[in-house]
Amino acid sequence: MKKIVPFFMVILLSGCWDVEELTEVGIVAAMAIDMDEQSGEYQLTSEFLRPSAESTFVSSQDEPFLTVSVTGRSMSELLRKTNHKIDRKGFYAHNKVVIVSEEVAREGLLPIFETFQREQVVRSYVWLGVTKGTSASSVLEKQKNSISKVPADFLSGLFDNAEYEAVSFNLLKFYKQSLRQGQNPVLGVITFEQTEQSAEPDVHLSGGAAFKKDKLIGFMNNDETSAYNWITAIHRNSEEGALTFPYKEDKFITLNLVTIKPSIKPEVTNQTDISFTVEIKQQLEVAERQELQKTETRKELAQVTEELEKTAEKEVKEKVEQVITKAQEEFQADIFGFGAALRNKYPKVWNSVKDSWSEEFANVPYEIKVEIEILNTGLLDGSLHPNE
Amino acid sequence: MLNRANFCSVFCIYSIFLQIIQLCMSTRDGVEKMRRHWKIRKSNQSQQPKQTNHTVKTVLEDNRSTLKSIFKNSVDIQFRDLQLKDKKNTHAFICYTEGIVREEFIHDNVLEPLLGIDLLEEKINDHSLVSYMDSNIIKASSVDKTSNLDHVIENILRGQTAIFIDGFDSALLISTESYESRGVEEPDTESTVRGSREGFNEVITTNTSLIRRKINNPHLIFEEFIIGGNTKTPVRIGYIDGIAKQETVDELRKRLESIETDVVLESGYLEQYIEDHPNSIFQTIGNSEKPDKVAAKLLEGRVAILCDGTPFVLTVPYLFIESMQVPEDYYTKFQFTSLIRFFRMIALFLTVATPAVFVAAATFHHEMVPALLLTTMAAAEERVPFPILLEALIMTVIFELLREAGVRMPRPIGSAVSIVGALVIGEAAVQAGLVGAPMVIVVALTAITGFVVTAINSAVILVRFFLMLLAGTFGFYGLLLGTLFIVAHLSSLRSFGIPYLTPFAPVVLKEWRDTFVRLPLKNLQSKPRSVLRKKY
Repeated sequence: MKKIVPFFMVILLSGCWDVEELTEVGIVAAMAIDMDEQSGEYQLTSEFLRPSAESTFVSSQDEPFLTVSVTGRSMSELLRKTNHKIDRKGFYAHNKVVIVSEEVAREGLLPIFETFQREQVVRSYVWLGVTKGTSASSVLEKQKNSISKVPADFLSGLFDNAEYEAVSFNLLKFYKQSLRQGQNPVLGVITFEQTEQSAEPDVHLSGGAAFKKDKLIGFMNNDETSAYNWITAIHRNSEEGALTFPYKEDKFITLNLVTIKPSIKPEVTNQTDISFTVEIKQQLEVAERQELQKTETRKELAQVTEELEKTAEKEVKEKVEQVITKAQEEFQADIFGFGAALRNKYPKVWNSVKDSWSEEFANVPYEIKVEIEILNTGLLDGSLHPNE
Repeated sequence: MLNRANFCSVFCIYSIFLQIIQLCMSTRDGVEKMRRHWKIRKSNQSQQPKQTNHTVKTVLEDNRSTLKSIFKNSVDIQFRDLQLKDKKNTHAFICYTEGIVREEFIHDNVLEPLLGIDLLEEKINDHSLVSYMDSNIIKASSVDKTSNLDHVIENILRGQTAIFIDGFDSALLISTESYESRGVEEPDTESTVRGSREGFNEVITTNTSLIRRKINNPHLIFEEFIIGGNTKTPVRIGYIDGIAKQETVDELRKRLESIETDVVLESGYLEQYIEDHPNSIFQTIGNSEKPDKVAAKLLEGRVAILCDGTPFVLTVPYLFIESMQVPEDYYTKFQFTSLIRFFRMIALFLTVATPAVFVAAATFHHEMVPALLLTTMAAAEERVPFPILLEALIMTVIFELLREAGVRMPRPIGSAVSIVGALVIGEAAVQAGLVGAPMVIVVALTAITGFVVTAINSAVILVRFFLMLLAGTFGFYGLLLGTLFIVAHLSSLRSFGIPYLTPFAPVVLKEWRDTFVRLPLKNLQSKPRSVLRKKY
């Protein structure tokens, strides 16, 4: 008895304080943060799942999700206000994406994400995206191209499938890079694109939104984003994609990316003269050749391959130059991590320049070395060609 | 969202748990404690009737009246008077219990020669009559001359026939036992696909012979004990001298001798008197109905305890790992056996923890469930009015009821229970809105995996409820504490001096060859000595 009584006291008197039955929680799958133009307050739109619509027993006419919007000044205020408006308590651990509008991003993101980290409301691997030219909440509506029933699944699918022309950036990386010295984050950009075929616009994840610390300073197009990914290669999507460029008489050739190995090498001469060498090593394979040229011998094939490598190197080098120029001149933000590389190799030099790194970065000289190797040509040596 | 007060309360709980665990760990010197326990039990005076020392008297009528007064004319005790053809026409009578003797045998081998012989011709003097009868007249394999009347009575009740002769102060006991018994049939409890189909029956001599036939070794020794004041049940221990550890045999003898009870009807009685930890839910004595299994255990150095009246033979020492081993493991290929062993281990964990994990994940740790599964789980719970812990309890209790009903009920109505059972633990329960669909799967999984580890079913059921309650009140934290508690308790157990969790705790790496995997038979040789003979 002496052992049993305290045991049951422990269970019956102290247990269950944080019990939450499944029927009490409202699972939030996506969040969108906008800025109310008149009042300047934040507007949070949360996408709750409606489990009964997913029931395997009773088929339901309801949409499997519903969205709730509230306005307020701070994130935790918004989260609480959301609970006032819906009959379930918000549960954010299964949140998949957080979308912020351009205006919110320009104001700075760390103030609103601070509570996520403090209270561990949202997991650190939610995808982060910035909308361009549209409100964030509009992305949470059901999209025309969505196979998933829930828009949150659609959005996280876009991030999962992204190639190097877009950016898949999660909350944890955003914290890391925005708080780190010598590097600035780049988030994925979600845009609506109107096509001529249909009345409804398509949602796109492409391009990048460059940040200076936690504030948005500008957008990059697809080519620039590709080059950004080649230089940094820190995202899961950086190693996926293909390079298409013209080759001989308006015919195109496509090379698939197999591996990529970039490195940024800082060099300091005379104590203060900082320069960088950006080295990019890519391994590619031939995915498509439109020119239908007959390749007779192995020797010819080697020549063709060499020629292709040279052309591809030129293509890549041009794009990389373009994006570094843009970062230096337009953004004045070190999105590639030049500063971080310098800090690792020359900490003393870094300490002397770190306070004015943005200005230093804008004028820093650099050299680009691209090395491309074509690993194989698929199952065809030359290409398909009709016999005369 | 954790705040400081909650952390404090959690810490308090943790420290209390540690204390409980420590209390349990303090029973580590199990043997000593158990000995004390027996002493207490020994003081319980048994209720058996007092026996006065009767002896066989010279006057025939005295013996007869003593027996009649003791048996109080019980109808199944038969007396038959005889008159021998000798000088004095000596009177005699025989006494036996009907039903447990072979009457034709008595007629052919006792009465006929006794009455047919002309003792005058044989020139037997009066004094040597009894010994002459013993050696020349009675045709039976065992004839015993005794003057102790109590001994005579005991053996009459066992099926022997006693002959009393006027003028002699001793009686002859002739073994004429014969009684109805079940044949050697296939046991229901431990069915195998491959292997011997023999099973023990209720007769101890048959059981001994079944073991003896498997092990043709002169060092296989059986010793007999008579236990139980009223039942006088024959109990035999069997061991192979030289393989079994002498300390174990001595300890077992001592424990059996110290039993003071009136009734032993089944080996389970013995088990509860001699086990190391009567208060633990885990059994530290094994049992089996299969001679091949018991023979294997004897050859490994264990000691068997056979009890008359039951086909269940006990084996000691019993280690936890034995509940994961079956005879078939050694009859089939080792690769397959190793896989099956692995599945059995998984089954053990699943059957103990599945409902608890489900309850914990669904009430406390939604973030640990994949989002899609959580949605379907929530959808299933949408129309259920009860908390998940209650649901789990309802379903597991219903399952235990069905299982118990299936065991107890008469065979012909078995199908009725399975039909009702399928309705209760099935879609009907879900559609009635009593439980969610995932809970049905959880209970089904628990049940199926439970049938894989039937050897420790009783402990598993108790642990399952214990962990379920903890998981429902503290979540995974409680589940972890509960598991810790169980493991601590298990490692504190001993069976006849050997730690229960051997070879895992203490680690005997060499013996792992027959635990998670079974190595080929040639690597299992010299098996018995190390674990069972080692001193801990």
